[in-house]
Amino acid sequence: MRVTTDAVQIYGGYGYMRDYPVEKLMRDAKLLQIYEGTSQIQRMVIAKEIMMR
Amino acid sequence: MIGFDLTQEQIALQDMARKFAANEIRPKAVEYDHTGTFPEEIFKKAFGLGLMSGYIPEEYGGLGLKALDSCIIDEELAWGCSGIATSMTSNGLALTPILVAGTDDQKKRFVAPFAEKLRYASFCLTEPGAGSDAGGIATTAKKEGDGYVINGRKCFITNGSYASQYTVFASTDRSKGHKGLSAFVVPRSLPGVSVGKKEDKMGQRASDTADVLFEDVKVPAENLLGKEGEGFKIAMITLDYTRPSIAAFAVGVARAAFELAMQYSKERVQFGVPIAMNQAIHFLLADMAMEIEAARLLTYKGAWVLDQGKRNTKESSFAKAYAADLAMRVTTDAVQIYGGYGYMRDYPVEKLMRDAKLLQIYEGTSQIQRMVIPPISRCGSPPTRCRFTAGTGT
Repeated sequence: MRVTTDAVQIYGGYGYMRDYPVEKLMRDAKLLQIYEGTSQIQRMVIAKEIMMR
Repeated sequence: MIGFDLTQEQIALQDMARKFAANEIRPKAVEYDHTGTFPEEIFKKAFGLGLMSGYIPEEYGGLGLKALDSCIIDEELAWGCSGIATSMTSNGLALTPILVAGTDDQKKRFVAPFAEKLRYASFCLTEPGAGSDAGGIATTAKKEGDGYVINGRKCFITNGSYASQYTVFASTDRSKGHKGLSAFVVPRSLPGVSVGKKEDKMGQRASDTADVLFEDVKVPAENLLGKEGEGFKIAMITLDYTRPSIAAFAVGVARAAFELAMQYSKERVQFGVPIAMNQAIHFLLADMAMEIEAARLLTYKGAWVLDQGKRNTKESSFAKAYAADLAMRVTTDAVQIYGGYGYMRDYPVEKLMRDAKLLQIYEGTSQIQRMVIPPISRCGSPPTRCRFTAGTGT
């Protein structure tokens, strides 16, 4: 999410247009933080794991 | 003396803009986002209420609103839809160069008509090869007879397809870089003016963004703003005026995302409790609330300094960069709080996240704002008058 957001930023105005590839990457990236356990759930899992060892 | 109270007039303006955003903008925002059509119907109503000409001084038919008044309105409009707000306030960006550098006659001819009737003007600075680097502008204005001949192509022009008048920055002397830039008022009706491709954007899809082309356009000398070579200065002063508005848009977008995320987190139950009770979510929301307040105060300060007649480049850059970056974070986190639903077009936060990205790019990227800030901060920013003094303008 961070890298794709910054890639749009580096492209500037062009990056915001559908004609350029980074716009799609930024929209695509958001789902990665959500599906198969959100980033928040991962942190809960991690906390549990590290506390139990 | 520090006071955080709004005046009775400011509260009334805020209330009117808030109602307009809730009743007229928000219900239609999703449809305009999907279709990318120009929200003319909304603009007709907004113009009728004075929401599109408030910044014009009273002697030219407007309400003579100050920068802070405009920011209060802009936050509400962008809370409704930042794409519609961008398009709705584009006249202000296009006409400010005339207000800061134009003669009384130029203001009467090129600004007053925009208080009388709904029409559109566009600010034409950006080019395919010159965004932040205005010195690289390739559009030329050659002196010929008692006027100028303009040639070049401008891109990413807000309301470009619908404008009847363009404020064009062109080089009258390319050897001088940004010091060779001059500003012209170019009516759409002049032969050689045409509109090119309309952009297909990630977000803010209700606002029209298009190429505008100038091919051997003969412009009379009386359409030159200030003197030859003053274009860059005029553009930079204009951005000092409009930067607080973009910051206010960002506050509005962030507030919309925060309110939705807050409400959803109270409704969504996981593990037997609303997710708002989960500390991971709780802290996201607390950070949003805290930083939105900070962004609003920076925005008000940037506008207030301008209203005191002082140069606000530093304060307005603080506000624009901070608020735009915040809007991106808050909207991304709002989608996160909505989880899978937030990623779907049926839910409102997805649009907010796409819309927010543009706030970090237009009217000076977040990086350009940071370039503007340090030298001024280092020299302690002596308060200087911001008003344009060259030429015959005020």
